[in-house]
Amino acid sequence: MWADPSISRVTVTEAADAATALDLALVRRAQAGDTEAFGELVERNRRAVFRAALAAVGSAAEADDVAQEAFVTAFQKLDGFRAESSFKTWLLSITWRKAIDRRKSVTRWMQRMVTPVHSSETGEEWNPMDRLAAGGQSQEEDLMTSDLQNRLKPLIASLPKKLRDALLLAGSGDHTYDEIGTMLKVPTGTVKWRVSEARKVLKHKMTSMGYTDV
Amino acid sequence: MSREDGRGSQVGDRGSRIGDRDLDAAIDRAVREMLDVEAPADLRGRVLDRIDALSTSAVFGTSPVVSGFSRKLWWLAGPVAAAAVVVLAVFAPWRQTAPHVEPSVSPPIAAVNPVPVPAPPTSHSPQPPRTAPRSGSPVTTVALPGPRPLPRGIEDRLVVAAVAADADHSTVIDPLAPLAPIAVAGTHPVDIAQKDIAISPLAPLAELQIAPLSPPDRRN
Repeated sequence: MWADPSISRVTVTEAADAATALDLALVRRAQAGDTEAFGELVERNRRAVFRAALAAVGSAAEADDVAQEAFVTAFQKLDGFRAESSFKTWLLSITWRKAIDRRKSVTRWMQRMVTPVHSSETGEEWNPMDRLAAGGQSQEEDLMTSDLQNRLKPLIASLPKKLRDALLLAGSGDHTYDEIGTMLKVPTGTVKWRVSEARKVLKHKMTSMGYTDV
Repeated sequence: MSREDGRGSQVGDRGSRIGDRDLDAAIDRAVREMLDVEAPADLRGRVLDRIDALSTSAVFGTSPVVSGFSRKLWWLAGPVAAAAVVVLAVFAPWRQTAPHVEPSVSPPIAAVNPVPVPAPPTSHSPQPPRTAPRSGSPVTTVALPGPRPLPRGIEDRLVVAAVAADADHSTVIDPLAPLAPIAVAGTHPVDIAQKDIAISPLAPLAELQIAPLSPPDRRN
């Protein structure tokens, strides 16, 4: 039995519209001074905000700080929200700016200076994405994870930032291409090209490295 | 090195075969695993706490939440303020004070020598002066107050004012000698006799002869 794909697409679109409408209603209440309504907005969007921050900074702790700061900033600027885009898109733009600021911050630069070289064996520059690539798994879990996954994560972490950001944001499943384009301030087509280019680079590296099995 | 087989699959150095679909799926799984960190459940509570603190600080005029823009502002304002302090320290006018000049105890500008007035050549005895000169030296010395550390411009103006005030009050001036009476001789009118006045008659005038003009002269 085959399911009609058009039906599921319409359902997803309607759900997204309903979510946008609910967000907008909560925004109106929050603009009127209802703090609990803003708390509801935080609850509804915390996952997407946190994942976007994590994709940029590569650390759960720093992504938590960025997410918190983004929500507070959004509350402070809530009166300036004109509903020209969805609240989620507007919020994700704020989050991405905060995350990029964090990524470029002097604090992180100082941290990089005082932190011993993480991958001294390979001679590569210390990269916060390495923590994300490691995934915090135990040695036993690493053994259980496929060799291909273990090889891919460091390669993703070492991608150029533009390609890596697009690939991680698109691969998280929490953001549409349009939302990613708004966050990165590039057209949607550019986002798609970057994702495709990132995959191409990864495939090229994987095939040049060799692999055991899938 | 890698090579493609006839079905579009790629073969790695180790001889493993994997297709594009499998690679894409592996990439998707790797990305999801990298981002597979659950958002903190207490994020909502912490955000609301910070918002409450923000509202409280707005009421009491404090700002515990420092925005990114504020931090940037501080990063800019710090060096600018430091540069301003250095410029003020170097070029401020109060740093250009001249070496302090110790005022003398008795400035010569305050001394006044009385000029002796010669006695008039009369037989009248001069009246005694109403103000007697001070005993001792005829030069009066006025002592200024002790040295005070004052800015240079103000010090100069104060010295001039002090000299003028002291000259008015402490300089002894001898009284003028009485003037001798001036004697003027009386006038003596001279008698004028009318007989001494004689008027001689005028000499008779000679007749004038004027010749008539010639015609050419008349044309001209």
